[in-house]
Parts: sequence; structure tokens; C-alpha cells
Amino acid sequence: MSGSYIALSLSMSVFFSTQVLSKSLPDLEALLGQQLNQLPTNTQISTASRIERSSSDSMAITHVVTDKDIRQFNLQSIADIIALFAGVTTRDDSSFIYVGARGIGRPGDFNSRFLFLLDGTRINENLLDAGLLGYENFVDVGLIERVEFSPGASAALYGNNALLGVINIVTKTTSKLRGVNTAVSITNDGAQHARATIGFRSSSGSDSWLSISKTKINAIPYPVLNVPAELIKWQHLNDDESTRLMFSHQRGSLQFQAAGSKRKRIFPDGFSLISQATPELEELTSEAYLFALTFDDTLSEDIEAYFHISTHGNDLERSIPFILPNGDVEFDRPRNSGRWSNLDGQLMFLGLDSHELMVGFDFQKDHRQEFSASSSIPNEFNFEQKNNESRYGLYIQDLWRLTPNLKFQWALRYDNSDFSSARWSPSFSLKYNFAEKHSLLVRHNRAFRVANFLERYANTAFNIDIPKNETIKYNEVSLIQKWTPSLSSFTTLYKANIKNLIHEDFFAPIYFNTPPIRSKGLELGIDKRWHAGMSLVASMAFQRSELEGGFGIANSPKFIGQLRFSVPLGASNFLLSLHSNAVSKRKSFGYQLPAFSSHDASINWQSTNSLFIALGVRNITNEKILEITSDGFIPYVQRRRQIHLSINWSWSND
Amino acid sequence: MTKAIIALCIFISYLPFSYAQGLSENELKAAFLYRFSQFSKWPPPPPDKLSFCVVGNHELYKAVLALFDTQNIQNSSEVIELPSNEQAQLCDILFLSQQNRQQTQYWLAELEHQPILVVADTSEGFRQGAMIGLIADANNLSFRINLTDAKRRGLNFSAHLLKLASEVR
Repeated sequence: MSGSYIALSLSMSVFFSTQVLSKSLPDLEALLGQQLNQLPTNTQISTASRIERSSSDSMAITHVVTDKDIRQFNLQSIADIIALFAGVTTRDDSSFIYVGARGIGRPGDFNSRFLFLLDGTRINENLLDAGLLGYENFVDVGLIERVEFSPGASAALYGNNALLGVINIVTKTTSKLRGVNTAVSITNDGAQHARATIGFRSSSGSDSWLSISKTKINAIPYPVLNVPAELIKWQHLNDDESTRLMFSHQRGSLQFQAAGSKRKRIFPDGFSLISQATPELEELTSEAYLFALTFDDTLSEDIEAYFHISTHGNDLERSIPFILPNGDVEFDRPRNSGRWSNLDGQLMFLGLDSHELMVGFDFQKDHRQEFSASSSIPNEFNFEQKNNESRYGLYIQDLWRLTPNLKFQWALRYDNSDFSSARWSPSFSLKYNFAEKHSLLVRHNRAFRVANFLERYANTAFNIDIPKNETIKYNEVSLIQKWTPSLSSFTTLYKANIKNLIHEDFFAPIYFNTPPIRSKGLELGIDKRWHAGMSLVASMAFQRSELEGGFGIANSPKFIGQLRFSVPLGASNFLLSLHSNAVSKRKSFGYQLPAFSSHDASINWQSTNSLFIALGVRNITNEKILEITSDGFIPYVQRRRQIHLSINWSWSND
Repeated sequence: MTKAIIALCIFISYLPFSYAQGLSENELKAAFLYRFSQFSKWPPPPPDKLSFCVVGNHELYKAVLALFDTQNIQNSSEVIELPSNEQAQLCDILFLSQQNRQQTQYWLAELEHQPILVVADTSEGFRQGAMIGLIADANNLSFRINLTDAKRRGLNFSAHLLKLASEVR
């Protein structure tokens, strides 16, 4: 009997959905919200070639996560977004989030082997070349239009740091942020987030928006195992608070951006409980800002130009309590402070038949690179180390269309700076369309990383040679295939030689170059759409990285799997989204970290374009995931089960 | 439990519908093209019958044809699939689909200062001179507007179209 009722109700669902389908042509706003039920013929990609190009013309594989994915899977940070990309893993110690790819996830590297861009602007900070992926990043995820990830080496275009991949965060315009746009979210483990954005587009088309957001996480569960009971009772003092402010104004060819963030991480100091009844609090405060002006336009029929100038700041200060023998409390305050400016330019010549020629330059002036430490009473830990530096790069790239089905792209870049030797970085890519919508891509790319200020300073302080530049050479073969209008796949086989990888010594705060590392891997992925709005994106990465002599390296899982699946529920505005992530066992400093698979689910409901609600569970089975992030040899617990609720509401007077 | 499932199904059936999980990419482009024509203004005298020209995409041509049929607007609009640029000046709207640089140059060669709304579906085509770029990301279509170039040709767009564009230049 109950089966009949269910059949009846399902039939009614189908009937009513058919009725609605046959209604008149949707308005423009509804068309913009329309999910494609096929894979688009071409999308736009800017990261792989440093210029916006159609995906069919792209000479590298680029993975994209869009704002729709961000909302559907209720992603909270840049790290959550990056973790969706093929072959990528993230590791969080609750103060900093690290990312690894292609078998390389060096503990404590602060993501300096990835290049991070914000709308094309380099945003790695200038002391550690660190990429900030957590709440200290000044971009709220609600402002992101899409994130592009181009895996592999890209020094021929981008220079320093582009070893394992380039990640470009592209922000929205007022087409999606006009009027008042608000978002609030809460989780069962004490996280609260709120964002308010106002956006305005004038009749002349100039586009302005301002956004402020705040995140608070109270009583964060300690991310380590076997926490002593006397420390657990002070867990309510374990807090994270961050504020982000961002402004954008675009008029014609010019865009101005300003952004700032402040994050304060407070945690009870366990050592102080040895000598007193209540813990002292340790604080970690990070502040960052950016001002950027960009010009992007066509100068003549055959010349396009891009110029960019920006200035940046990043400060990180710790306040570490220690108890003096007489029982007094003293605070040591190590501080990292960076200030730098970038000037970039690029000209594209399209006047030569079958060629797209690009020349460009990048210049970075580090006004301040400063490490210091102080306490209220002078002691032997106080120090101050200051520096400034100039770095520049010149590059040329040509895309040569040899035949309609064969393209060849070469690029060459020269880099130099005050504290490193000059470097040439070439790259070669060949793309052959061996059948309609099936192409073969063969690439040779190189990249390098110059010892950063920390690595130089640490070795200099101990009278040890500064580590040599680390280098990587990638040879890759990829197949990019579109089997049907709704099914595509990619396959990449790569082999890399890594020389002089810079690594921190276990026994002293100094850095050395490792023996050569051989890395090889296979990355596979599919993207499938169904007629009713159902979609599946899945990827697998098999990888192996070894030191010369066959020794494995830390944080290098041999398998990473990703799966994303979304299905509309009936003819409603409900959407069910599932995400699974599996990583094989890996070793780190002698620890054998277990394999894991975690699963997330989210149900979303959208009412026209003004209201969007997402309710979901992360790590449904509460799988215990452990990662080692630095040479502290401490396994950190990752992504415990979390229930989250997000509400986005927007209002516009049009 | 059974009653809860039934109630949920019925509830979901009656919820507002976000339209059409059923349009192909070309059907969606055709719908956008039609909407663009409604929010665009040509210099006087206004055309009696809007000529939609499609280049490089026969499926899109068929989708526009089918759209005109379902919307019953054959009397006020026509769709032409152009084999060469000789007839391009007869168009009011010209959609250049998946054209490379040389092809786009060929189509735009004779149209300098003509009040023809050129729409391209690649970012290269938009930078090369189309007034509207109708460009896909992995999930949706969005559009950009080159207002400066459109005004130079005597075309104007409604404020609503300008507000919904992902970028206006």
C-alpha cells in the first residue's frame, strides 16, 4: 500500500515538472542561472598561457572550480577549493594549511612550491614565498567566480615558485554581487561566518563592490591525539577569529582592487600548566593587505596590452608565553614583516599569420623583509634581521598554429635577483588534434625556486652556504578527449627530475639541498553531465616520488582519488551534492599515516536568485585522518565530522 | 517514514521551478541571442524585421529557427546561416560561433562602423571586436559587453542588460 502511495507521489512530481518545462522562454536572469546539461564547447582559461584563451586553444590542462561548485559543496576556504583538484592534498595544523601535488608535499614548505594569483596578481608573500589558504587569505570564498589550477611547472611564464602548479583566484563582478549580498553560516563545532557585500554598476558600465566578512571559531577541538585532560578543560580558550575587507572598482580597461585581512589565532599554552593552575594564552596574529591597479585592453587591431602595479604587506606576529624561574610570565614576540611591490607588463602581437606572440616583464621590489623577536626584558632571544631585494623576469611566448590540427608553443624566460644566480627557463608544448575533439598534448617544462629570505637568513646565521636554487624538469604527455557532448576525459602521464630540493635540517634550523628526486605519475579524470542537471566529476592520481637510491619522501601518497556528484531532486530547486576523497597511506618522518576515504554530502535549495540555503555534513563517517604538516613530528587530526548550514541572501532594486 | 517521503515528494513537486534543466548549449545560446535583441537599440530608423545571422554553427542556426517557431516571431525576425561575408551587411545581429582569429577578421572586415550587433562565443572573438561575448564556464553561460565599441557603431543597450553582464568595457 505504502509502495503505491510512493509511486503516486513520484508520478505527480514528474507530471508537475513536465508542466513547468513547457512554459515560455525564461528571462535573461534565469538564463544566466541555467545549468548546462552538456559540456561547453569552449570555456575561458587564463592561467595556463597567462592570457585569456579558449580551452580548446589552451596548451596545458587546467582544472576549474566555479562559484557554483563552491556553493553546492559549501566550501569555506581557498584550501577547501584547492582540495577538489585532481591529485591535490591539503594538510591543516589549525594555524596554517599546506598543499601538496604530484608526489611533493614537503612538510613546512608553506606552499612556496605553488604560485598563487589573485586575478592574475602574484600573492605569495615575500619572506617564505608562502601561499595563504586559510582564513588569513583576504578573499572570502563568496567573492570567488572561479579558481583555476594549472598543474606542473610554469617558470617559463611565471618565474619563481611555479614548480608544482599555478593557482589563480578570479573574483566576481557586480553581475553576481549587485545590490546587497549577504551570507551567514554556522557549524556544529562552533564556527560562525558572516559576509556582507554591496555592489553597484553605473549606466556607463563601471563596476564597484565592497565586501566585509568575519569568521569566528570558538572552542576548537585540539587537532592532536592524546590531549591531556588538564588541557582539554581549557579548550574553550582555543579560538580563531578573522576579518576580511575587499574593494573592487573597474571602469573600462582599468581595475583597482584593495584588500585586507586580519586573523587572530589564540590557544592555551600547555607548558604553562606545568607551573600554574590556569594556562597562559599564546597568540598568532597575521595581517595582510594589497592595493592593485590593472590595465587590460586592445591597443590596436593587432596589439593587446596588460599592465599591472600593486603593493602588498604581510605581517605575522606570535606572542609566546614562558614562565620565569621566579614565577613571572614573560612573552617572547617573534615577528615576520614583509612589504613589496610588483610591476608587470605584457604585450601580445597578433599581426603575424598563425602566430600569437607575447612578450612581458615582471619586477618585484621587496621594500622590507624582516624577522625580529622581542620581549619586555632584553634577553638572548631578541634579534632583528632586515633586508630588501629586487627581482625581475623577462619572458617571451609564441603560439604557432602550424596546421589547423597542430599547434606548437614555446616560451623562454630570464630571471634574476639580488640574491640568486640568473636563470633561463624554457618550455615547449605541442598539441595535435588527432580526431575531432580528441587531442594529444606533449609538454616539456621547467621551474625553479630560489632560496627564500628565511632559508637564506637561517643558513647565514649559522655560517653555512645558502642553498642552491631548486629546479624541476617535467616531461608530460596528455590526452584530452571529448567523447560525446556530455562526456570528456583527460589523462596525463608525467615524469620529473627534481634537483636541489631545499629542505630543513632535522637537528638545526638550517636548510640544505636534498639529493636528486625522481617523480612520476598518472592523472586521470572524467567529467560527465546528464540531461536533468545531474553531473559527475571524478579524478585519480597515481604518483611515486623517490630520492636517488629509492628512498621514499615524506607526505607523498601513491594514490589520490576525488569524486563529485550532483543531482537535482525532482523538479524542485533542491540539489543533492556528494563529494568523496580517498588518499592512500603515506610516510612522514618515520610515521606511517593511514589511508583514508572521507565523504561529504550537502543539500541545497535555491529560490530564484535571491536566496540559497545549503545544509551538509562533512566527513560523514568521521574517518580519522592524520597528517604531518611540519618537522614537529606531530600528527594532526584533519577534518573531523562537521555539520554546516549556510544561507545566502541577496537583494537588488532592479 | 512512508508518509514523510510522500509529503516530501509532493512538497518538492510544488516548489518554484528554476526552469529548464533541458536546454542544450546551442538552445541556450539561441535564447540568449533572442534576449540580447530585446535589450538592444539600433540607430534610427529601427529595422522592420530583425535579421539574425549565424556563422560557423549549423546546430545554433537550427536552434534559433526552432526558437522563432516556438515564440511565434517569424513575422518580426528572420534567421540566416551565412556562408560568406558578402551578406553580412544585411544582418542586424551577427553571431560568430567558435571562429578563430583569421575567420573573425574575415567576418568583421566589411562591418567597420556598421550598426550590427556582433556576438561571439569565445573570449578571443570578444577581444577582437564583438560587442557581446557569450562565454561558457564549466556550468553556465555568461556575457560581457563592449559598450564603447557598441556606441561607436550607434548601438545601445538597456540598463538591465548592462547590469547582468559579467563585465562592461
